[in-house]
Amino acid sequence: MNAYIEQMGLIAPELVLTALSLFVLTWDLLKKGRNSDHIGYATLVGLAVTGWLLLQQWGMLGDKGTQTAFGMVTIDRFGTFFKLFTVGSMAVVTLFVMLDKNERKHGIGEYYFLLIGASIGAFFMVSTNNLLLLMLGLELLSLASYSLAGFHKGSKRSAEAALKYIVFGGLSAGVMLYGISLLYGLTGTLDLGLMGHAPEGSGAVSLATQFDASPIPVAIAVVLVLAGFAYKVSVVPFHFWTPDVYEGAPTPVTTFLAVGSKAAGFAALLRFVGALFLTDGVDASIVAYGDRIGFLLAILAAITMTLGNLSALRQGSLKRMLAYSSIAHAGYVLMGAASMTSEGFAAAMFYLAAYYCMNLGAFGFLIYFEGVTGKDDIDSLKGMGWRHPVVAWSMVVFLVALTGLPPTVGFYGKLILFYAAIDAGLAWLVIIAAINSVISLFYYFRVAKSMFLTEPVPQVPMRQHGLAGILCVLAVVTVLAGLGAFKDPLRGWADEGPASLEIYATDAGSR
Amino acid sequence: MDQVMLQRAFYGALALLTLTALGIGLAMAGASGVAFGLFTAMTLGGALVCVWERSVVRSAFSLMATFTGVSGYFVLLEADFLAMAQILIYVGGILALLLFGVMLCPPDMEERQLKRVLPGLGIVGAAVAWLSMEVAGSARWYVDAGAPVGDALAEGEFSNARQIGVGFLGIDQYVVAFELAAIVLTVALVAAVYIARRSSVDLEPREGDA
Amino acid sequence: MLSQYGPILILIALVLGFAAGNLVISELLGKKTSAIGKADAYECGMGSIGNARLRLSIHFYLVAVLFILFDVESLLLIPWAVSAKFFEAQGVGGIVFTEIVGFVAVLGIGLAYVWNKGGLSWDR
Repeated sequence: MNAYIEQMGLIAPELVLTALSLFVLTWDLLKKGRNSDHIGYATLVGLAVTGWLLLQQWGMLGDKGTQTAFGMVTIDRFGTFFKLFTVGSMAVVTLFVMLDKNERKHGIGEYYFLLIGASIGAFFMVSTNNLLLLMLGLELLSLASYSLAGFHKGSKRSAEAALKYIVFGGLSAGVMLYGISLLYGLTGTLDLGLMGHAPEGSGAVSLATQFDASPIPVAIAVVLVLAGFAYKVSVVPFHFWTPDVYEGAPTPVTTFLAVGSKAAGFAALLRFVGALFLTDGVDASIVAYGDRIGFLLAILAAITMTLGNLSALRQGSLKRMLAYSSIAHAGYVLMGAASMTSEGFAAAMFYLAAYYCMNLGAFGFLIYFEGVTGKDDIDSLKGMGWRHPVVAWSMVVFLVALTGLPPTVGFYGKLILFYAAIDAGLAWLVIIAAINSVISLFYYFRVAKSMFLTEPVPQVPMRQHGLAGILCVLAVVTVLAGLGAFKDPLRGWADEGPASLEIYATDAGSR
Repeated sequence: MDQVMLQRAFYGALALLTLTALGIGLAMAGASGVAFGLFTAMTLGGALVCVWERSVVRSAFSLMATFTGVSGYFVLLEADFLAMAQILIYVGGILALLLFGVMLCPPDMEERQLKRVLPGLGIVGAAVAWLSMEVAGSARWYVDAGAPVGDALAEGEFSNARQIGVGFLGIDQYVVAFELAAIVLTVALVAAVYIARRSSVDLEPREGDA
Repeated sequence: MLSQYGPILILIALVLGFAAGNLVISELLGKKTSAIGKADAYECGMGSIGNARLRLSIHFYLVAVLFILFDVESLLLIPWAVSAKFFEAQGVGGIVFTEIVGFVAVLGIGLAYVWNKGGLSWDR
């Protein structure tokens, strides 16, 4: 009984989120959809409690190391790192929903419920070594995202977004499940730890052994699973849905997709790749095929960032531009995974954390801008800089960060990514990434140019003080994190992640 | 007239294939071989009819044979709970959903000609077939040495639903996934009702809609 | 091994036999009349000839989706029902019962939502 309560304590953040989601749904039913702001405040309080619990957990994990709850939930600092940022981005998205003048307040209970449901899925997805639970979390996240993308029922674009998302998503989920079933058939376990390294008597065969015996089935299974992840984080060639979904979905939902959902997908990808192929500090049998997977990921990274950046150049809509920019950034993060070292993984995690700040800011600007003009094309930005200076300057900070220039966190994040890739012998990839950063300068600064260097077009002024405040804070954080105030703790956190994966010494041999 | 002949030829070939499958099954493994042949004929035949028929409703109904055949495989593998789930969910639910889905869609008058997509289908099909052959030929599937061979069910047990129950609800096994399934279902419930519900507010066009 | 499925085979045979037998018996004993109405599959309801892809209300779809979701739920309850005695013997019956209550409660809230929003009534 005591063990039971102790394990409940380990998944307390997830339990709080679940309770919150059910509370929101019930309250909305009782209130019949009135007092929508109260539901927003309740959500914020619940998220704050979750965040506090996660911080407690972070400290606890430092003393005790990785914990396992109920046999399949792995609580480690890697997962907690991503959960903290998921909660943070959820809180900001909730604020966006509350402050977004464009957002209808109809069906707001469902809106919050689905958002929280998506983050429950993300939570379980990032904190398990078990492919079954990982898949279930991914499905929960996806299901909620599909319906959120189509939340504006009167809008054709929103419906189209939902349809494209669900069709591509269903296909990729099927592909991934097929890969997982092959992996299970080959190794006899769903536990990634055992799959990577099966000790004697564990009743499983490690994937490396199977690879030596028959490479083709293993390669196919791994590629199928990777395809599922690649879809989730919109890596080329599984990116087709991204621009349309980002454009059609309600903007706060797009924000969540670009930040929360993508980070959760990367977390699961890193865990999967890390458990099976991470090459440093392991016996030589894994190195042989880990390097090949790393090379595959490196090629995908190069194609993804190049295609994303080149497509972004041609976009007239700010929302579509940010969609392609998010594809390009998926390529940068993939560089860290491709380097196949814990250093590279830590760099990828740091970059994702940096990406949280700058992308949340950019999408917040988009919501503000849509609220003011009702449009989302870059040409309508004219004169924004003079009419709304605080917001416009914040946006400039985010653009600088997205490009990867000092003094922002984006620069530092790219720097450590590049270091990690060079250490792993991927100098060619770093050169491609550097060229890509230059390309991205053009389209990011087209936005800045439009805001400051052109004559203002007459507009009806509209004020959204709250949003402006959030953007300001985010911008300050982005710069400070780059200058060093938060840089080192963040770096430390990111370094803790891969260290806590404890891939090689798994004690999950009970099954 | 040509159409009728084609139709007859197709179903004739299907019947022949079914008989062949039954015959091979009988020759190779006796009674359970016949059962396997029958389920294979149902699964593949249903899928073939689904592709062959021009009427979407007939295609959907032919899937019933496919789903039932798959549940037959589960019975042969002594996974009776899965067989039941297959019948209950796929034959009972998914098929009805498919039919409603088909009927909700406006008929597509400009159906794409088979000839135009045939090369693409051929290439993809050949690639999948080749990969499947490679996997089937070279994979060394994991075999649990400790598992009982033959009669997997312990004495006095009539179903493996109990073993599944122990796995689902046992504290250190799959209980988290089991409870998460409830949340997944609830999210699906809310999403489905929200999307399908009709109210006047939802039908107003939104601004910014092209 | 497969003999335990004998009863199911008998049931299938009975079902098929009942359907086929009824057809045969009515063919043998029934009075043969011919009228235009008899050629129709149904004498009332929707016309049986026409485009098979008639468009239905989205409500049919909603009902089908809800059916599947609760179908899956009830299916997931079966393993608990048959393993409850095992857990009782292990002395963890109470904990397992709370697990299943949690499962049903979450879906119960979902049901309350559907009911409240009119998903179960036909006219909305």
